[in-house]
Amino acid sequence: MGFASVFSVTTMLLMLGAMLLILLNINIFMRDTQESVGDITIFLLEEITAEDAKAVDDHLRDDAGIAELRFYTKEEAYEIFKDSWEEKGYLLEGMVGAFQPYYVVVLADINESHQFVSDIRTMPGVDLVNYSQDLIDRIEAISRTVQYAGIIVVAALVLISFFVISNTIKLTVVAREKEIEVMRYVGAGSGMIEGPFVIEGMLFGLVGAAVAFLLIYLGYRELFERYSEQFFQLSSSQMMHPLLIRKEFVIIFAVMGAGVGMLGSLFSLRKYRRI
Amino acid sequence: MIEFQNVSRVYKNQVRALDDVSFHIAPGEFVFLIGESGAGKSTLIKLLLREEVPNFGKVLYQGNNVASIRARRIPRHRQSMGVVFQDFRLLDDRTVFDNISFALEIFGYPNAQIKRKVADVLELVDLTRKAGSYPNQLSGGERQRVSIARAMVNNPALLIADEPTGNLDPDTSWEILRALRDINNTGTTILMATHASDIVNRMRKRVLELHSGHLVRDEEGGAYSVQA
Repeated sequence: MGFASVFSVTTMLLMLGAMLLILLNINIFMRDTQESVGDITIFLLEEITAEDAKAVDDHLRDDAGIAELRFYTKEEAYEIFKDSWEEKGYLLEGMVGAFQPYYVVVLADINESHQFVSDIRTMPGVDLVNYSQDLIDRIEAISRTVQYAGIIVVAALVLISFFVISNTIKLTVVAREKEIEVMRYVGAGSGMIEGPFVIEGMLFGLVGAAVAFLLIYLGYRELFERYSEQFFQLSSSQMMHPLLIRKEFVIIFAVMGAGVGMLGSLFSLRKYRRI
Repeated sequence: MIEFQNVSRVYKNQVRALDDVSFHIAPGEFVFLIGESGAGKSTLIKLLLREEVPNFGKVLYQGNNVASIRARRIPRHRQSMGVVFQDFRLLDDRTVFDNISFALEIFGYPNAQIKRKVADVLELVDLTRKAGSYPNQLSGGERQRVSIARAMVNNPALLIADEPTGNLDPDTSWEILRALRDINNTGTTILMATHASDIVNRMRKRVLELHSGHLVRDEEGGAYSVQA
């Protein structure tokens, strides 16, 4: 039953952690995207020929519908990205090769975006065109769905964990019923009687939290290492670095795990609280 | 020390477990509480222990109204009493010493003090040589004496014995009564609920007799004659 308690807390916190990570990254993307609503980012192939590069450049500079045009070499792209990570920027040392040169275009009329994007995409040397506006609505809808579904699932798992821990502690209490009764008659207070069981429940919760944290942190770190670059290319936004969320997740998981454990224990002891 | 003033206890099904009961027990007395099953003996003890409160009247213990004791102070109230049960209620996985010291450990007494107090009460009940034994290695009488020792280890002013000889043969019962008498001689008040007529008749202590919740007799040097 102890294993069941730990397992249920681990599952609950894994779901909570996954939901939080998804929402965090969506929020970052939303923030970055909204800052550049109307920006169109045009990534060039690393191996673009000089001729193709000039053709793209001329096309853009000759387009009267462009209000703003900025070009970034891959070195500049690397520096910008590194700066956006502030004190964690050192983590990107030596990764300039992973970046591509790109243009940022702001159209005079955002309604021309569709046509502009479909034209530029066909030009040789153009790798990827990020076009933010239509993504925002879709991402917002996804974010809401993730939030609602996540809340429902996590709430259900919290309840399950609560009752599993409560039943586990109840078994322990029943096994020690004689001892509890003697304690009551010799004048032990509720704190003395209930304390060990509450601690036991909290320990189940904390162990579950520790396991969940390790799994979510190591899993997310692996995901980050594999896909953060592609994420940036697809979205012009960076994934939340695992190190940035480590401390907060430890606290959230520990509080939730210990909290559910403690409440589950107290619930199972309510019958024995009669004085 | 103990005073019941017109105490009545009525349960939800309208059963009057105690009906207008009044008596006073002075410090140092030895009192038998007798009556048929269902007479109200257990209810009277529960009222003293503050497991229940009277519907009418007052239960006073050492001058304090037991019913008005706040919930968080009830443990302290019970620390001033020792309770001995018919079924001993020893912890089978602990030795005699540990069963008794348990009552002190939960209050954080230092080890040296625990050893001394446990040794004293074991001597009181003549079980010093059995300190390392487990309950299943003891006779019924020895187990009850361990229970008495545990009840006495905190030097309570009152010892409540609820049918302490109920599971014992006559000879062993007398062992227990001698132990209780010795304890009473040290000044501890004894209130003993019992069906053991021979013990009551032989000891001729004060008798409180309950019948259907009423106190029908309060007699010094009384004999056991339960009303039909």
